[in-house]
Amino acid sequence: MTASAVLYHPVVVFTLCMMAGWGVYALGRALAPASRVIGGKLKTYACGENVEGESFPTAYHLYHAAFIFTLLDVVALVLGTVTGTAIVWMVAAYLLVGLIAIVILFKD
Amino acid sequence: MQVVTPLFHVLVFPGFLFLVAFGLFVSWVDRKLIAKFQNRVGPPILQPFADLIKLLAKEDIIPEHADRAMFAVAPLIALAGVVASIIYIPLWAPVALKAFSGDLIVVVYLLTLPAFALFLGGWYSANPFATIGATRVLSQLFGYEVPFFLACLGPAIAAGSWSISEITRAQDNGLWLISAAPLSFAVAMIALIGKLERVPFDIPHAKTEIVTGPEVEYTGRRLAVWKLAFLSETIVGAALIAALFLGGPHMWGLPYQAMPAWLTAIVGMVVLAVKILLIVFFLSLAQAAMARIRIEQMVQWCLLWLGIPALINMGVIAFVIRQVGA
Amino acid sequence: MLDGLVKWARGKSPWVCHLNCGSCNGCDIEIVAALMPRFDLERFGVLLEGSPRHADVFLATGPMTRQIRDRVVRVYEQAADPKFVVAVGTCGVSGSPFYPGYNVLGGVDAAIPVDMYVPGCPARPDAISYGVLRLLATLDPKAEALVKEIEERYDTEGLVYTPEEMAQQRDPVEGARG
Ligand code: SF4
Repeated sequence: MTASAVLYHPVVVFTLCMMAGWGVYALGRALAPASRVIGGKLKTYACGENVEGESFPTAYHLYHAAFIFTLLDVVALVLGTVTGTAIVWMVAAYLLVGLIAIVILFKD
Repeated sequence: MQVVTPLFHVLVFPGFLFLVAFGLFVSWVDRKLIAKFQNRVGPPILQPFADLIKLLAKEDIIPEHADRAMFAVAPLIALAGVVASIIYIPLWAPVALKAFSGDLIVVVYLLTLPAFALFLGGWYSANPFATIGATRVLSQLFGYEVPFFLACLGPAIAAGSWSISEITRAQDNGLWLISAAPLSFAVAMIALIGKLERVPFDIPHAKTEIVTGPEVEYTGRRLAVWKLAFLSETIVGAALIAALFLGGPHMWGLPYQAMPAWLTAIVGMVVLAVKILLIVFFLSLAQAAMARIRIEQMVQWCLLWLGIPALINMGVIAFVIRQVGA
Repeated sequence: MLDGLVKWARGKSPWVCHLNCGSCNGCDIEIVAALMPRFDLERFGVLLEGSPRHADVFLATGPMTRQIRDRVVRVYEQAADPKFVVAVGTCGVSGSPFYPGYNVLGGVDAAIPVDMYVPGCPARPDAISYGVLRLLATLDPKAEALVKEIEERYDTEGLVYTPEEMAQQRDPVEGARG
C-alpha cells in the first residue's frame, strides 16, 4: 500500500474534503460579525407565526414509488458489482424485474 | 512528494479549490444565459463570487429546535461527496487520477450524498417548510435515481467495464458511446436536472411555495456551503455524463498523438470544459423554458418515461454485445 | 484587505426579501416589476429570496397594521445581520391614507428600523431600484459612483429619502401627531 493508494481511497478523499469544507466554515467565522441573539432570532421561521414544536407531521403518499425504488436500486447494485459473462443474464433478469415492477406501479 | 501530490489533487486541482472556482464561473454562465433567454442584461462575471463572500460574511444562526450537529454537518457531507467524486472522473486524459474496477458505482453513490444530506439538514432544522422539502427531496430521489443509474450502466455494458476511466478510454477511437446509447444519454441528461433539483424538477426547493424547502433555516456560511455543493455537483454531474457518453476529453480531428504530454492535458481539459458548458447550456435552456411540475407527476413521469427507455437501451446493448461476442 | 473585500461583496450582492405589512398589493406588483426583464435588477446582483434567513434587504410595503406587527418584528429578527429595510410606497413611509385608522400604527418604521424610504403610490419600479442602489452606496464606495452618475443624468429629486432627510421632512407633522 503506497501513500498515494491510501490518499486516493474514497473514504480518505471524502474525509479530506470534509476538512476542506470545514475550512470554509472557519473562513466564514473569521469574516462574519459576532452573533447577537435578539428577541425571536432563534425561533423557527414560519412566515412570522409563533410556532412551538420541534417536529412537524407530514403525510406521505408515495410509498409505492419508494418500494419500486428500493427494489430497483438493490438489483442495480447487485448488477453493478458482478462482472464477467454472468452479466448478460443478470441484465435480462434485471430487465424482467424492472418491467414487472413498473407494470405493478401503473396497474391502476 | 508522495503525499503532497495527492493532497494537492484533492484540495487544490482538480479537487476542492478548482472545483469551487470553476463552479462559480459556470454558475455565472448559467445565470447569464438565463438572463439572455429572458431578454435581460444579467449579472456581472464576479457576481457568484460576491454572493459567496457576502454569505460567508453574514451572521450564523442555528435555530433553537434544530439538531445542532446535524444542521452543521449536513452541508459538509454534501460538498465532500461531490468534491470527492471528481478524483475518479477523467478530466484531461482518458484516465482519471485514480481508477479502479467499480469506481462508476462509487461515483454514482457519492453523487446521491447531496440529496441525503439535504434531507437530513432539512429534517433536523425542525421547520415546517424544511420538513416538507426534506420529504420531497427523498420522493424526488425515487424518481430520478434509478433512471440515472440505469443510464450510466448503458455505456458501462457497452464498454464492458465498471470503471469510468475504462469507459472513457474505450471511446478514444472516436466512437463516442452516445452512438450506442442515445436513449441512455437523453435519460441521463433529464435525470441530471432532477439530481441538481433545477427547474422543472425544483420541487424540493420550490421558492414560490415552500420558500426554499430544506435550506429555509440556513444562513451565512452554511448556506454558502450548500450553494457550493450544488454548483460543484453541476460540474461533476456534467463531467460524468461527458466522460460516459461524449468521450470525456476526446475530440475528433485533434492530433493528440503528435502533441507533447502537457499540451494534451491542457487541450483535453479545454475540450472537457466546452462539453460541460454545453451540458450547462441545456440545463439553463430547460430552466428558462419550463415551469415546475408536481412531485407525484415528477416521480411517475420519471419512472415511466425515463426508466423504460433506459432499460430498453440497456437491454439492446446487452443483446447486441452477446450476439457479437458469441 | 479582507474588510474591503467583504464591503465590496455586500454592496454587490443584496438579496431582497419581500415583506408585505398590510399593503394593497400595488407596491408589491411594482416590486415584482422592478425584478422583471425591463428593469432587470439582477445586473446589480439583486435576487429575490423567499426566506428572511437568506435575505439582506427587506422591501417592506404597506402601512403597519396592528394585526401584522408582531409577525413583521419576528421575521425581521429572524434575518441574519447585517440586514437593511427599505420602506416602499407612501404607506410604508407614513401609513399614508390609512394612518389615523383604528388598525394602523403608521409606516413600516412603527415596528422595525428603516434604512431608506421610497415614497409613491405605488412607488415606481425605477424609484425602488434607485432606493436599493442608494442603500448599497452607503455600504460600498463603488456603488456611490454609480449613484452620482444617475443623479447627474436624471432628475432624482424626491424619489428616495434617507432616514435623516425623512426626519427633516416630517418635523412639522411629528408635532401634529403628538
Ligand atoms: S402606497 Fe399606494 S400602492 Fe402602495 S400599498 Fe399604499 S395604497 Fe397601495
